[in-house]
Amino acid sequence: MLDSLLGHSRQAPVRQLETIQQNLNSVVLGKAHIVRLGLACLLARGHLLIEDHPGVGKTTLAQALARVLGLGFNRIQFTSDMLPADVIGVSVFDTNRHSFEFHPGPIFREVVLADEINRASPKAQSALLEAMEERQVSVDGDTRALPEPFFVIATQNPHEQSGTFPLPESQLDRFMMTVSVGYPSRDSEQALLAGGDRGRMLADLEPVTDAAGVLELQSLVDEIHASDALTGYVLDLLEASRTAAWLDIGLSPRAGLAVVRGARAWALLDGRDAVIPEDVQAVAPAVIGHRLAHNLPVSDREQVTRRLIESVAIP
Amino acid sequence: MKIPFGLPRPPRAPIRPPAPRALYLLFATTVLASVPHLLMQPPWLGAVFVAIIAWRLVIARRGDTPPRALVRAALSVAMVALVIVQYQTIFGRTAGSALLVSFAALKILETSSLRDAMFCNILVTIVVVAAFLFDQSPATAAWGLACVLLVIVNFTLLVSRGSFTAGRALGLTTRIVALGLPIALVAYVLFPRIEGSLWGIAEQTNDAVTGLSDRVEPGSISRLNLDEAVAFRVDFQGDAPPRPERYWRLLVLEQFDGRAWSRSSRNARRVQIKPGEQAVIYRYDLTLEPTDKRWLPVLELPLSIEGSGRINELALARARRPVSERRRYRAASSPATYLSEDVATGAGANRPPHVTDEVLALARSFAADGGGAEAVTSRILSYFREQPFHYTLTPPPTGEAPVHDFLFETRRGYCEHYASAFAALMRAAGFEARVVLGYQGGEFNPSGGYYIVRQYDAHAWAEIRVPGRGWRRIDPTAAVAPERVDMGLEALRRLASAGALGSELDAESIRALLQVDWLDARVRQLVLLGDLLTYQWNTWVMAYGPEQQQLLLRQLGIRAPNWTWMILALTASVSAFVLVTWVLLSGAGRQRASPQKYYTRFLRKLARAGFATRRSEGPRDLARRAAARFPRAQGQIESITGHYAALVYAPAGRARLADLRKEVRQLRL
Amino acid sequence: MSPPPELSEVHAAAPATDALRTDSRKVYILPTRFGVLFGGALLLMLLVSVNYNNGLGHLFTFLLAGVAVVAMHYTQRNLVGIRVSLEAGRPVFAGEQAHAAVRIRDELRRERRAVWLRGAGGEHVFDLAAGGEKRIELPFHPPRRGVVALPDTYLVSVYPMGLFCAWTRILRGTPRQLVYPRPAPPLPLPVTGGGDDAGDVSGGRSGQGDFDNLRDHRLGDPLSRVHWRTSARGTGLKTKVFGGEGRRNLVLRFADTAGDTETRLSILCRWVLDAQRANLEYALQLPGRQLESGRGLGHQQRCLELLALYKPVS
Repeated sequence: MLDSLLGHSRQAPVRQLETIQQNLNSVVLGKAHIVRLGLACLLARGHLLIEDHPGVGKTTLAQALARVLGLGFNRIQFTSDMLPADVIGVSVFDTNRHSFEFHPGPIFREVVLADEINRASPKAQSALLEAMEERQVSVDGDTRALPEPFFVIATQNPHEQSGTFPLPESQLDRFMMTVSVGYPSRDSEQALLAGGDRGRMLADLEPVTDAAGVLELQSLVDEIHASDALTGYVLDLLEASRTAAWLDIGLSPRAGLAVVRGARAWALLDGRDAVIPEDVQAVAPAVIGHRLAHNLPVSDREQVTRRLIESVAIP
Repeated sequence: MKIPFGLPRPPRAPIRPPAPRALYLLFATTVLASVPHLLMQPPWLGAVFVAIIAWRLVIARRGDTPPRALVRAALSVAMVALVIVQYQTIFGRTAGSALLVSFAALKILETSSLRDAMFCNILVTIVVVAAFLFDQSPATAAWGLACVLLVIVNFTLLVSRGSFTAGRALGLTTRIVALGLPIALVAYVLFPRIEGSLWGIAEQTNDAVTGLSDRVEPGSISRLNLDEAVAFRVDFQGDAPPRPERYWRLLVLEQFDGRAWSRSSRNARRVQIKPGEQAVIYRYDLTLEPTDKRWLPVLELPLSIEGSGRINELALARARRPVSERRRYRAASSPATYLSEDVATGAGANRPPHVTDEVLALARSFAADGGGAEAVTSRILSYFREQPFHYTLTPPPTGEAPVHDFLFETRRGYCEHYASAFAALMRAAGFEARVVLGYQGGEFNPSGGYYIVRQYDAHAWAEIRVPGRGWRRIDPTAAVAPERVDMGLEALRRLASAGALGSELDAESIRALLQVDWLDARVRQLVLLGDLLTYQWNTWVMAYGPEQQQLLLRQLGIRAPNWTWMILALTASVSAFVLVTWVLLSGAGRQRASPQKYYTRFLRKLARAGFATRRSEGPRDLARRAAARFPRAQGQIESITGHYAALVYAPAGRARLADLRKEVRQLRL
Repeated sequence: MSPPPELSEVHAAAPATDALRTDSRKVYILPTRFGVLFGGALLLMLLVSVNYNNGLGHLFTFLLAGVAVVAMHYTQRNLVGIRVSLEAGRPVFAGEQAHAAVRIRDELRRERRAVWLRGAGGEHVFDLAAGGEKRIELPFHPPRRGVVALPDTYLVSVYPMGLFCAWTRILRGTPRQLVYPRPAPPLPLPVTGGGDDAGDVSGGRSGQGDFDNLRDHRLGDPLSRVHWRTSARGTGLKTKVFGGEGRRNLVLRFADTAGDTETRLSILCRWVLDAQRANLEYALQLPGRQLESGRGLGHQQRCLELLALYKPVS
């Protein structure tokens, strides 16, 4: 009843999004929620940070996403000796032409996987983060636009401490969502082991759409209705985070924007044209979990977010 | 709303010093409210008042503190002393008014704190209402309303710190007054009125009352013939009698000393006059201007009068107390040729003591041919008609024996001359006769549908006694100047100014003479319209006493409005209006229209069925949980949450509030 | 005797924030003394009007009475439909001033004027635009250590005419303010753990670990650990901090303190603060409760909460 009353009038994109999710889930097994969050993040024009151990399928997820959406894909493996030029590209003097020529770095792709970003020096990190924020790079005074759509999936291993440069809080804010993939369930892992080669499966994935199609889907997100009551609810969440005694730092206005955008994308994936509080609650752990520093001995970010959500009444 | 007794204890009311702006407006209000009082008081009080206000303004200008308590106390004592010197008392209206404005000025002098300012503002309301004791004209009412509005503006400015602009305060004030007015009007109409004063200290309000006195001598009525003051107004239910029939009785004069007619000293009995068979009965409401006399004018002949009036054997109406304020009463009258015998008994027929021989001889000559009183009357009237008697608005002065002078020398006279001479002749001829004083005619006000009787309508006529039948009215003036009775004095005056009075004119030329031009007619209309407003004002404000209240309530269909009924009705209707005000102001209507209200009702239903709801749970999650718990109501639950979500979160127009309400109502768990 | 509550239990019993909406059933109203005076003036006017049978006097007396009644409704209306949430501030030490934050929002799209917020610690007057929102911090002094109820707080209004005073009590006693014990005056940390823990602490190793850091000198630091070379530059005395101290197993014990319960808790509180500042690893032992050895701000907070919530075992 609710879904029919709030149903999206344009059925074609909604069905397309369902196909995209099905295809992704056939490769990334047992992680439907993470897949959906990642897709929502992309549709909401955000960037995704995955914090987890190596080998849980981060790369697979990124590659599958690019493949299904028909987007170009690049992977940057960050290392401590990496320079900003290794990310964004470099101008080289062409002796034949007697002019500088720009060799674009790996960042000039629609989907970029920035692997183990905390291994890179702060300089290289900030080069990437600035590019993410501004969706363009400046080299030698020239400004070069990054492709549209542009989606960065960064990963970092939280358990590796020595010789790393964890992202500072201010930089974390630039990622719309942070998720942790986690180990697959026993059933999924069995299917994984029994199934074929991931690489082959990825190559076999049929693109459902292309860059233009993705841009159109992104513009659909903007049309999702967020009522006054809904934005009021988000404001209540922000306010509660700022005044709750058990939280050290409240959420920034940017966090509020990210929550509403993420919730819009989530509603679109749900086939609705209006955001309901459940959308906010669904994306909130990923969107605000990493932005909340807390002083209570609750290690799990999801738990903090849930506590915050439970303390705020829905209008 | 809760008005608690005992717990919980209210916190201390907030106090802040008033803004200077609010103080200045308060001072201005106080001055405005005091002006009508000061205009009535001796000039020294006005001077003192102005001096004190000026002092306060100097203090405010310099930023000084107000004078100390000792100085203020000394000033208060001095003011009381001055008032006592002036009036020998501090009680009563005039002295009270002087004291009130003195205190208002002294209060202003000391006012600097919020407490003083609030107190001063309350004092101003008393000053305003006190002024109504001296004047209740519409202009005064308008001034009073302006003062009350300012007082409310003062209150809001004092209470709401400096942040409120005067314009917005005035807007709020207007709303408050508009909402308070219905309550005030209902209370005004229904609050039981009593006649007279509570302690008998009410003084006379009208210092100089014009009108008829109880003696008729030459000049006693003609001095009124330029007096346009209203004597009374009459509102007939149904038809009014024609002008020649409109004789308003006020006094019957039976004593004649050869010069003047006056009342006899005997006490009149109270009687009940019965209308003749098939007689026309006129019913009317009469609003009498204050006279300070007990006389109540009634149409000839009165049958009944409501309220505290009584009808006596002279067919006159009398009030229990002098009429010191405008008064409205309802009466019924029926014209009759003869006052019935039993009513007419006991009237004196004393021989005139100072009548000259010539007068006596003339009277005897009328009686010589025999016949009864009526035959003699017609001879006398013929004599007036045939001899060169003239009716004039400016009768020449008469000497020591006015009847003689009038009959044989001047032969020019006003109604009092004719009535007086006629009655004297009748008595000299051996018949019982007397003079009746009252009003004749009255002007019709077409815009109000009522008659205005003015002082210049005052009239004197005579009555003769016909043995076996009773007293009969004879108007000798009509024999000389029928226009007086047919057209009224106003027309007569116009004829006189045209020099046509007394001349033999046919009806055609009289009509031509009386033709007024267009402008005069319009002016007259405006005057009558103004009189209508005054009349309504008088009826509903100045003369709204117990009688008028009873009249109104009876007109509204309440048969016997007694005190118990009125107090019950007052309580009930005032409460109803207070309730309406509360509903208007509490915004209950706005709240009623929200989806949240029905959703809360839905949640309450779930809670009653033992289902725990969480405040952080969205509608879809709730629906899933609740549907699992109440599988039979799944469809309804999903429909309710769906409608709610559509109303609150979707673009407008997806769902209807009425549907949500209906479904919540129909939900059974 | 029931065991002392966990902090989570405290939070469950009284959430950190709570909200209510003022409604007409909770708003009380009584005439102010000006209202009583005004009533007296009205009675006087009525008596005079009746005595002189004065029509205008009656009319204006009733008009002023009607105005007062309407003003009463306006006064109540000024307070109804405000959402108030009262939030406890961050934990404080006993003796410090705490702040309760009151968030006020108009829910009826109604302009509010001259509303007074009054609590034990102070008062605040504010206007609120239609649909507007305000956050006001009311300071107050918690009377004792532990979980303390916020003081009674009222919304009060005499607007528009000052004749009636409406008030509503907002959230009596909830939520609660957490108050740590008042830290005792500076005193040295216990040098050794007592009794059975003695084996864990080798007193001789004090200050012989790896040199780690410098910090400002505090009363009670041994002179032998002052870093004289740095101190000579005129930056004040500096004390050497040795990383090895972090490994020392310091146990702060209720039993090691003297005095009444509150004094003992104050001393423990001081030790916890000092130990944290010195970046030591420490455990806390209270009768019936204890915290394993740990360090860091989170550990300090848990220790302080335990001290705040401590109830003597009878």
